[in-house]
Amino acid sequence: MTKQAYEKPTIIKHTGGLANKFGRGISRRTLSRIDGIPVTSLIEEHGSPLFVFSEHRIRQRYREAYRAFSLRYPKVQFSWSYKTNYLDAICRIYHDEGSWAEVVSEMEYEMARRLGIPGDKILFNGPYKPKPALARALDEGAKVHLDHYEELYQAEQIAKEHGKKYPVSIRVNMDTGIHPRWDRFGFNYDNGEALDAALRLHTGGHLYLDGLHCHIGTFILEPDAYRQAASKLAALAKEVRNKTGMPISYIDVGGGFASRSTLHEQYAPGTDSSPPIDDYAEAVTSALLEAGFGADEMPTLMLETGRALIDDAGFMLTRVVGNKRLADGRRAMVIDAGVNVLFTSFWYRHDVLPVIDRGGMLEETVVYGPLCMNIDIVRPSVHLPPLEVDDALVIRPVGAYNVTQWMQFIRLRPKVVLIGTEGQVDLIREAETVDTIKHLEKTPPRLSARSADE
Amino acid sequence: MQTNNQTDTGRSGGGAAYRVTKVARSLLSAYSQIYFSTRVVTGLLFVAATFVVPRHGAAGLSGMLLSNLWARLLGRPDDHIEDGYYGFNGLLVGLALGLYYRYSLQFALLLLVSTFLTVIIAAVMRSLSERYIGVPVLSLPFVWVTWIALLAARRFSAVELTIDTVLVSGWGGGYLPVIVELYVRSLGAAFFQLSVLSGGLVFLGLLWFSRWAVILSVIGFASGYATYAALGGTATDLTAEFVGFNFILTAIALGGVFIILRPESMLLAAAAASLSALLSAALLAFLQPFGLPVVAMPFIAATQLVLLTLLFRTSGGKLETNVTELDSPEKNLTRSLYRKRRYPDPSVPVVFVPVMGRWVVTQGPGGELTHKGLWSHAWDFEVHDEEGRTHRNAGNAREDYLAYRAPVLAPADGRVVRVVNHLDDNPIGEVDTKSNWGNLVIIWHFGDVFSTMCHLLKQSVTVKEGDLVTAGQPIAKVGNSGRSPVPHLHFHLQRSGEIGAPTTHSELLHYIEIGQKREDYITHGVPQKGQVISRMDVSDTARRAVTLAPGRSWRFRIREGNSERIETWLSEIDPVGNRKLRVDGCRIEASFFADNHYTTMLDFTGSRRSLLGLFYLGAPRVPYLESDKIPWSDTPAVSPFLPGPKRLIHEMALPFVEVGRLKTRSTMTRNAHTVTVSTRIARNAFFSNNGSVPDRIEVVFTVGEGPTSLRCFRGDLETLKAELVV
Repeated sequence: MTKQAYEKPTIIKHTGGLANKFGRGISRRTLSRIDGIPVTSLIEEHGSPLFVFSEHRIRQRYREAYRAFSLRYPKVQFSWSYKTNYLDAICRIYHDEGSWAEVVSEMEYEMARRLGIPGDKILFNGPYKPKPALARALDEGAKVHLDHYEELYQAEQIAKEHGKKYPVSIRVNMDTGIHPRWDRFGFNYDNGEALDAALRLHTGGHLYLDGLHCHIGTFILEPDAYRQAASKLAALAKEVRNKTGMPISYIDVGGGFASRSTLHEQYAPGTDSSPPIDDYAEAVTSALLEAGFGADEMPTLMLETGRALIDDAGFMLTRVVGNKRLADGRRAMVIDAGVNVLFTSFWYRHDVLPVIDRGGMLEETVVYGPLCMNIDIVRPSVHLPPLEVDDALVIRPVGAYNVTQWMQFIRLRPKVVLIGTEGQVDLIREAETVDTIKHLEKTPPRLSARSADE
Repeated sequence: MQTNNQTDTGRSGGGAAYRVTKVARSLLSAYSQIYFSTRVVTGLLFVAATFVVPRHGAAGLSGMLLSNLWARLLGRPDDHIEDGYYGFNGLLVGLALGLYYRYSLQFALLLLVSTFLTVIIAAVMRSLSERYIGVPVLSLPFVWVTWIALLAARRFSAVELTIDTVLVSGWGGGYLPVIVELYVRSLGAAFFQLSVLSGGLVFLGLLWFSRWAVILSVIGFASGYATYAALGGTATDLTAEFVGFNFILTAIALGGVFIILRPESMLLAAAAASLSALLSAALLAFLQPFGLPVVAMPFIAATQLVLLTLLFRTSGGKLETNVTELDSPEKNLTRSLYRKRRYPDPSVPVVFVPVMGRWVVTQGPGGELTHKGLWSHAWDFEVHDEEGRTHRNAGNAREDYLAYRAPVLAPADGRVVRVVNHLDDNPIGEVDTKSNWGNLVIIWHFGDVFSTMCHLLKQSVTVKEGDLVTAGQPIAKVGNSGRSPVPHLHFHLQRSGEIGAPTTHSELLHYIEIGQKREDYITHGVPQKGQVISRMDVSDTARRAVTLAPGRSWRFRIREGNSERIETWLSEIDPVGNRKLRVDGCRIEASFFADNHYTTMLDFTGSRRSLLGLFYLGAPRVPYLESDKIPWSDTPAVSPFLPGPKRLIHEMALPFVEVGRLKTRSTMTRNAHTVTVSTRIARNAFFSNNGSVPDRIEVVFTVGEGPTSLRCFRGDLETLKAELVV
């Protein structure tokens, strides 16, 4: 039997907790291994904080999602959303599974090209595509998704200059019955702007419409919104087909499926309240199958799912650096990973799991990061047993967005490791050093001279 | 435009020459057809054999030309005239009468009327046979007309008898052993030639046509002769009446022409030859009072009777009949072998996989649980995840099952004839044995082919009885109704539209077989228990690129080493839809089949060094796959790619064992406008290493253009490069 953690004597108000339909049970949970690898050994070898990705989970979730759609629709193509996680190793796993690349900037475009993804397997989204980037993408056969008229004109201009006719797609926004309604990306469907854009594109004679794209929102918990989006895009596709005689080759319903994370404002945990991917698949594909496309003109269904695929596969390994009591008597602890590397803490109630539970009373605890900033709160309130300094914690799911939106702020960014399907642990991103940050800087000689004096 | 004009002029110029050679070919084939050949050289040698006595030969030629004229006058179908059917009956009538009568004006009149009769009888017999019997008429019209004309001529004193033909019968005799000489003369007797010289020419013609035909002729002659001799037959029947060619023709016809050449067919040939010996003796006895010769009657009777017996079977057995596409025994065998290996049996219904995505066959045809007896030809499909689980969570609810509510598709075009849609889905683990089949859809695919999809989700069927459905159309969802403890799809084909009718053997078309290590495209097959399969998704780009549109031509510049040459292909289609690529200006041809799912080469004839031959090897079949990771295998025909002596060995051994094999494995890569098919060719040891078969062939197809380049490799070395000349 392990020795109980030492805790300073304190007086706590004893409550039974509010009655709720899930019962009183606040279970004592720990997580000591990821894919069979002990968390403590990972920290011993690579230090903390440490991002850990599970290749097994990445592949498993991808296959689950692919299966859900491919059982219901003849042509399905996933494109890995680079902005969700563009670590090379991670992208390569998705490409290995058959995913194309979905990029939203010339930076991401270049990242995909560097991984050997041919232009025609890259979807180029985003509201700003500088002209050289747009020209390159068009020339390399990328699926360019036009966001606004200025971009359409620019694409036409490029086509004229190159003397070619390029396939392009347009981004469409619409009312799908959810809030907030995203109407900032692309052309509006409901007021006819999207159809206008499609016809304008056709009559321009330098471009032709290859596909339709929409991005209705993020962390959408209502699959029916996708049914509406898909059926509106299908209706638009058919209308364009009737008016121009040109069938489109794909319909892209974007991303935004909820992962199993729990939003701060959600009552029930995400593992219970997020719909299974099959429900999204059912909604999207039934709308497309019912749209009545001809057997030869069934558009390919493109998906840009990011978060729902990767979130579960990412873990943050961290350690307790200090315990304290707040003035109001609440328990608090400081850990070595903060919002600088866990950006999603602002959105989600992450699961915070100790690696070891030495017993003692579960108590609501505030989990603070290491930054000298008031906002650095990883969990405002979570039931934890007493923990000692250097005890390890696992924060999950953190696979989506954290390793792209992380900040170099106050602290350096940590290592990232990948646990392979055979249990091998590989470093996929080295920890930053001060040089990583400083080598880009230039100090004017007049300033460097003075510092030398002192 | 420029190119088009050039091509057109080129072709119409070739057209005139083509027409002349076509007429010549059709005339020669009337000769060669007597031994089931259409070869030009064979025809010429047979013509020479009849002209040993020029007047006799002239009688035959007149008979042929006259009957063709009568056939045209009577408006017989062009293709029947062109395939030499009237011509060869007329030829035989001319030769038969020319054997007895001197060539004179009166004889010409007799011949004129006889050929008229020949055409009438031939036309009637062919119509009746095609409509009611289905066995070839052979030279039966000639037999009847010859008997009639010979009987009639007895009353016409103006037609004079001749002895020219008998006078030459000794020519070339005495050099060969008696029995061999008799065999050679029997060969010639099919053309009413009595001399050994003629028989020798016929032998050479037959040898040119087919080595196996020669072997069969020996088998037939030996068997018939032995029968005759063993039963103590009158010696002159064979030496003077020349019934021997009947044994020979019977053996060739049944050993390898109308029946595919096999050890079994050789036995049958021997038996039938001996039967024709019996029939010969009977006919001789019967016709003696009338003074009529038996001519080819024993052969015709024996062949037709045996064929009729075989055609009345329901299952094939070892003896496989072949009455539509006639060629030499070795060619017939090759075609049959490759068709069987590469394409579904035309009598077996084929349909597409009725679901999307990856499915596991959890019970196949002849399964150990319920697919037994009358209902054995069926599949149960379920969905498994990577760990082999059929469900999420605990699997206590129907919704946990991966297959549950997946769409079910119409497996082929058809009309919905039965729908059951109201039965409740069972809780997991329970079955409804009262409504065994559960909710279901039965689709009539016309003729006597019906498909049944069972255990569907309650109220999920979106079609109603009487609806027309197209292949791949969603019609319902997978459920758990009827005798189904867990959600799955039961699928089978049957021969009638009732619920619970016995199932029938069928095959699935165009699917991907997913193994542990690799995936494979399969054109047709019967997936077995445990196999994971998925439908083939069709790529529009590939479909538009892999096109060999009829009427198009392709002009390739070919660089091989330091030499350069041009080869032009024409794509042709005939009225019934048979398609082929032909090299302009020569007899190099590759027939092919193309539909919405794939293009596949059928037979190739011509030089193994031609670009078309390499195309045949490099793109033996090209499925229009959406995924470019999936390879496929094929076994293209071997003999066109073997050098002469080895080809002979290959052909001679083919009925017993296949020496020389080619296996191809192809993959496809695709970009916006082109599809590249790369094919690795594995040769077995029989092929010498420096032969003309490359290790790898890469064919590039371009959208709207078809093949635009072809490259051959030995190892990594490029040995040949052909590019489309624009």
